[in-house]
Amino acid sequence: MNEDLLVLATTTAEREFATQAVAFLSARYDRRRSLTANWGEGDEALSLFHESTDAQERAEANAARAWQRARWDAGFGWIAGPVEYGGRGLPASHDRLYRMIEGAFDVPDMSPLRIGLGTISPVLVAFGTPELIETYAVPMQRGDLIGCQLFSEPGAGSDLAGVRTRAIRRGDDWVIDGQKVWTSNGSFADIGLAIVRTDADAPKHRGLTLFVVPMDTPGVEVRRIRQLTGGHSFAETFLSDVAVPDSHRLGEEGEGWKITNRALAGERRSVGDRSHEMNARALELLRTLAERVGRSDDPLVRDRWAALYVSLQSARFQQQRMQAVPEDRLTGAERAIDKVVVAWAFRDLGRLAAELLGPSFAADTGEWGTFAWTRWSLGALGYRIAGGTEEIIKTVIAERVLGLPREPRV
Amino acid sequence: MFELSREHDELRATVRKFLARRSEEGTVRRLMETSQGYDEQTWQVMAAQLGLQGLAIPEEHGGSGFGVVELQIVMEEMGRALMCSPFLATVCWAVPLLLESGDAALAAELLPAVAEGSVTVAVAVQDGERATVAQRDDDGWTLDGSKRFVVDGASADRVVVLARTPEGPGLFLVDDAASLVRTAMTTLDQTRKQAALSFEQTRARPVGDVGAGQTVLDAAMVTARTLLAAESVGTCARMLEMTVNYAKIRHQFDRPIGSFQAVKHLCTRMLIDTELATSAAGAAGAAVDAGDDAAPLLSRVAAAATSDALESVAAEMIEIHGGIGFTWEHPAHLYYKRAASSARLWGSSSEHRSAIFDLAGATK
Ligand SMILES: Cc1cc2nc3c(=O)[nH]c(=O)nc-3n(C[C@H](O)[C@H](O)[C@H](O)COP(=O)(O)OP(=O)(O)OC[C@H]3O[C@@H](n4cnc5c(N)ncnc54)[C@H](O)[C@@H]3O)c2cc1C
Repeated sequence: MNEDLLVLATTTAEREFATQAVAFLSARYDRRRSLTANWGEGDEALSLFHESTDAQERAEANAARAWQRARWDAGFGWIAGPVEYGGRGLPASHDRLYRMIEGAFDVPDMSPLRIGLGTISPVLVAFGTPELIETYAVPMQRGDLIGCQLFSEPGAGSDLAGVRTRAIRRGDDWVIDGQKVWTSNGSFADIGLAIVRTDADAPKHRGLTLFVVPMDTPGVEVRRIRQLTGGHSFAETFLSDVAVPDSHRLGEEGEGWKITNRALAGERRSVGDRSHEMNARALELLRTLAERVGRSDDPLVRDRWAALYVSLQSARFQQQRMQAVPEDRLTGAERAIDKVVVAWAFRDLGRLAAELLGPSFAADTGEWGTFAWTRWSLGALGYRIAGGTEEIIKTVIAERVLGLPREPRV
Repeated sequence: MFELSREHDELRATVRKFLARRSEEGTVRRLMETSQGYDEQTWQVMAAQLGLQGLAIPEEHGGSGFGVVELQIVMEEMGRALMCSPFLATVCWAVPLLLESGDAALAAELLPAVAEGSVTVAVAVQDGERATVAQRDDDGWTLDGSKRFVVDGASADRVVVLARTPEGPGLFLVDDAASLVRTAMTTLDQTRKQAALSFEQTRARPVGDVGAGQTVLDAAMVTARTLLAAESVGTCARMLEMTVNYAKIRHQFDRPIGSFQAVKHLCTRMLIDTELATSAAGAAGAAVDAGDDAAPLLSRVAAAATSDALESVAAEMIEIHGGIGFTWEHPAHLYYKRAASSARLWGSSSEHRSAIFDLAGATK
């Protein structure tokens, strides 16, 4: 059993590691069951974003923390992390391998921790002082702290280097003033990584610096924003006279842009992890749905379903193929392809669901597995935007992977 | 899956170097105007020096016994170079067909000759105006009828023919293909020839069990499709490369056209299509070599992904080249035509998807 997961490994060392991971996981969780096997029962699980109440949100965050703790204790909590900080010191490829394998098991949803583990911790390790790593990265890896990213502002989204939130030096502290927006996890995160302007006179990309901001610092105020799906998975964050010690600066003054880009690359990479599994399950549900509404002989439906099958399989193989490419042969932007492809798949799955459901997509009949697709379709819209819009990512890929000349920059 | 070994890199480099000398644009253009369609001397050298024809032929039959994954590397390179040769028909299709047929005597007779480069074999499946029928007499079997769309049918030394028999569809080998009435079809892709063949009381030998023709053909198609997919990946990769290179050097509005976002995004889309198709083809190759039950399904996935990639990448290549891309002189059209032809050589992408719907349902 679980042999299918071992083929994801490409070297002997990876195979050994994969065997340990499978043993760890299978002792704790079942493989994900096919959703169609218990059609009509349980959670329809078609939300791409959290739609939870406060209490549910806390419960989900706690479940994620507990699972991260269990991973940590078993040596799977920080696979590529430095040994001196409690990490396992294995190559990044082992980490990706673990996540691909874990995707096949019915583990708790880790999305509350994803930003901390996928985006913030790696840059803390790469650019932070030992103190920052000990105080923040290690506890995040252990599941004790939840992170959020304080990047976007009302006036600075795609053009992130245009942020206006500023930090001014006061003694040993920096005092931050401004407003951040679209802060995922903002309402329950313990720390935020903020990109702010520290030099108003320097050229746009050079005057930026990163700080780790404990979210309970006086002057930090988080207000939830309701997203179009109805829930509140992000927030706006107001920063008024927020004092953080200089020891919370990540990297040098003026290095903020460079490090943020590294962080964003990490985020784009981690989008695909769970999505492949979700998409596969959604595709299976759609097949059953097609049968139930009597459309599985409709050539149009067959063609659209199979087109999705082709793109999802190809995307999964792409992920596995990239796994085999040594890190030094990649520019880093290759994996961003995954983010774009996953977002398209989300969209197209939602469209096919709508096609099959007809009026029950637009009005709830109360039937299981029907109206819930609206949440999927609406959520899909966000995936094309979050973590860099499709347009921006296409430009990044063209410039970094294909080497096309950069756009003129002001 | 997807292991990258040094041997694979070396194989790729060797083939690429060979094709750079033997299949550069001038040669392709010269050969595509001939009726033979390929250079026999190159074919010989390819067998004698590189052993490509025999790469995936079992050692007992004079080959090197490698798998489909290795042959895919060769096909990718041939697709990049638009190699004019009967490799697809002979090596990628007829050889798997002979192996799948289980006809040991015929395999022992023909495969060493293929590996050596002394015999080419075409496969004739689609009927022409007259259905092809096989009849048994005292001396064996004869064929009557016609076939068309036979890839490399006019130049092949031998032809394997699918024909009706009382026991169901059967495969037959015509040993003396030159004796057939063979008409070259005018092809969209001049770098790959197709022919119409007609059979009049033509002597033929059964290949494997007479009633098993369709089953053998279906099984061989899995391999053949997977190899064509690899060739298409090479073609896509080369089209992308040509386009990106051009976008870097062509200036308009005092800027390289590749700095315009509209052009960049088209190029990124070409890259994404090519990358996904590469992964799909690779997965299919690995599945075929592993004897995986999912191989037929994955070969269809690869075929659908590569067919669509060929068409969209080829179209954007022409667009980004502008007027020069619409000329006979520029090589873009040669690639475009290969793409448009290969994208439906063994079924269109929607036909593949229809099969995928059924196969994916069955494996659930
Ligand atoms: C669900 C969700 C979660 C998010 N979570 C976080 C978070 O946790 N932390 C955080 O900091 N941010 C977060 N974001 C913000 C996200 O990063 C931004 O929304 C995104 O970068 C786009 O910025 P914007 O919203 O200002 O849109 P804009 O930048 O104003 O873009 C509007 C449109 O213009 C296009 N556009 C802009 N510039 C260009 C250009 N140069 N070329 C071509 N087209 C262009 C865009 O592609 C888009 O279509 C989240 C967003 C969403 C939707």
